[in-house]
Amino acid sequence: MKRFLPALVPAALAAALFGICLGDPYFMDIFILTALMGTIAVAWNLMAGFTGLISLGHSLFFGIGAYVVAYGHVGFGLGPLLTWPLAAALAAAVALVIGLLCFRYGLRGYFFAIATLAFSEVAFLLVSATPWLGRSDGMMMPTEDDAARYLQFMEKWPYGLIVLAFLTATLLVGQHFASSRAGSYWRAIRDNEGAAEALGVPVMRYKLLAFVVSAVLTAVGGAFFASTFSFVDPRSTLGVDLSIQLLVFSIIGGLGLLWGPLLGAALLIPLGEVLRTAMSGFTGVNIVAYSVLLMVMALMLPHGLGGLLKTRLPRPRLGARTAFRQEDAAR
Amino acid sequence: MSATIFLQALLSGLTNGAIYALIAVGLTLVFGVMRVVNFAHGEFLMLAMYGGYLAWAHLGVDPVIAVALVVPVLLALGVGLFESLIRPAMKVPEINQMAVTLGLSLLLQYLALMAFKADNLLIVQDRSTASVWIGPVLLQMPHAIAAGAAAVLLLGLYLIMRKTDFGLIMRAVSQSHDGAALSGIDIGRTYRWAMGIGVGTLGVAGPLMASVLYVNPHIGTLFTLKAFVIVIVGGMGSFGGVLLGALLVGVAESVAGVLTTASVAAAVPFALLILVMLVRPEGLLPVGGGARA
Repeated sequence: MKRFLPALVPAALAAALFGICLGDPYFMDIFILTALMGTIAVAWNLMAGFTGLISLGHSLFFGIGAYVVAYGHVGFGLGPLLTWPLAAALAAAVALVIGLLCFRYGLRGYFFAIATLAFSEVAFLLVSATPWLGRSDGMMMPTEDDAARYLQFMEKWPYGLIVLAFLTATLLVGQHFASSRAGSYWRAIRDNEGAAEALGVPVMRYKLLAFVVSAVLTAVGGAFFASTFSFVDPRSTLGVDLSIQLLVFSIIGGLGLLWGPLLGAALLIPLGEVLRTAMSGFTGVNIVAYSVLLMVMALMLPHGLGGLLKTRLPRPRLGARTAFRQEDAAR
Repeated sequence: MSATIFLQALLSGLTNGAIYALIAVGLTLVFGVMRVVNFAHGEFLMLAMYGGYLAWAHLGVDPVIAVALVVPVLLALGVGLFESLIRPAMKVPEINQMAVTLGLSLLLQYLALMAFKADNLLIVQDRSTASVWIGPVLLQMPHAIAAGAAAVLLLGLYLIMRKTDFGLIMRAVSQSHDGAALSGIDIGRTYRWAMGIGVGTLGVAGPLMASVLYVNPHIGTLFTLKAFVIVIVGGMGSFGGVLLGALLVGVAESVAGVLTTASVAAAVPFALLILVMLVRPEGLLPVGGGARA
């Protein structure tokens, strides 16, 4: 139980925020968006921050999740009970194939990032050209009579509850891996892949594990997106912007921490909302502020706000303290 | 597809490819020398296109002459970019470097949006609609000028890289930073010049492209992605690779445009990239036998 503390504390904080936002549909909307994006960023960071694999194509998995749910509904009348697991399975298969292809030649760093970006761009452009997926106009999912079976609710709060469960589950899964053998292997691969391989870490298998876990969680996020908004289109589910946002949240929140990206999303999404409404006369002011913040943070505070916060927190156990310092020094 | 249509697609593919090469060569130079990928590369092209457009719209300067005005500005921007962002970014992990240049790309897009609005702007002159017949196929004048300029500039850059001490220094640094530093080369100065030239070449491309293609604040992203594709297909840091990659991408795109829909054709360069990364990840014409990332 104690080892799940880094997952349970942020989850409890999120639950408290959910409670605060319960009364107001506008706040609930922001909560849902923040929790969704934050959770996917956590999933993305399992690859980037923990394993050192920077994907700029995660929108592919989000899009797979969203489109499986939407097409399952529109084309076959299938409910989320069937389409969500299907989305996860398809994402796992796609991640496995892309991972096998990329890692076979040891694509790393910029090259892996751009390869994943290329895969997601191909998907974006092909979906935009596919008539039965609604082309670039997207797909609207019709309202059903037994609405609850399709996760169609009149109120916002049930979606908040679902995304809260998703967030908690993602943090628990992440913490499970991070604090187990897999997590140690991931960090070894991140810090020095050659040395890890020489010491007998099955590098290929554990990189694939990180990729598949991350992709599946991201696809569930996409499935949730489709079920919540009853609408999917290429730009909002498969676009590069989505993938870049995950990187932004993780950098701002802190790459080395499980809950870092969640912190980043929790700061930036509401901030963006405030800036957008406060400066409604100037389009793009929020993005200008956001990008300057990103550049400054990436240069001045490589461990993000979460890293800063963590060094300020009291650390009772000596062992953990030295472990963190070593990790610090290695990065 | 008849032979004439194919030839037409081939020709426009080749002219597009020459322009792409001009855009991608700066990216590959910067990567080769500094091992930094500039995700804001296309945004500097966007700025250069606006520079050419504004010079034409407000001062009545011909885009060909505007090149002489825009190149120094872009050169200065490149040096400024290095001093302000890239020099500190080279001390942080790769992922933070990506964040910095991605942030810059967003910043420039939205600053441009605030300054120029989202309108599509194009330089329209008498010669814009002129064209020449080459055998059975037609070549539009603005395309011919841009492609011609690209060929001249690429040849010039090639000669500089191969025949001058300056080029020798650039090549030495891209082969081994430590070795170059030990030989007495000022690495910081080389970086500054590489970035200046890498961005400065866009000053040639920008004004000429503003009479070929509409400029808007978001046009850069498209070219950043295309330049990535070209640079990786050709082999990161390789000069000949850029030319080969650019022509391949240009032709593949334009032939696919004849055979299928525009959206599928747009996916073709990325499919090409994936294919090359999987079969020959060092690129088609790698530097020194192919160093993987």
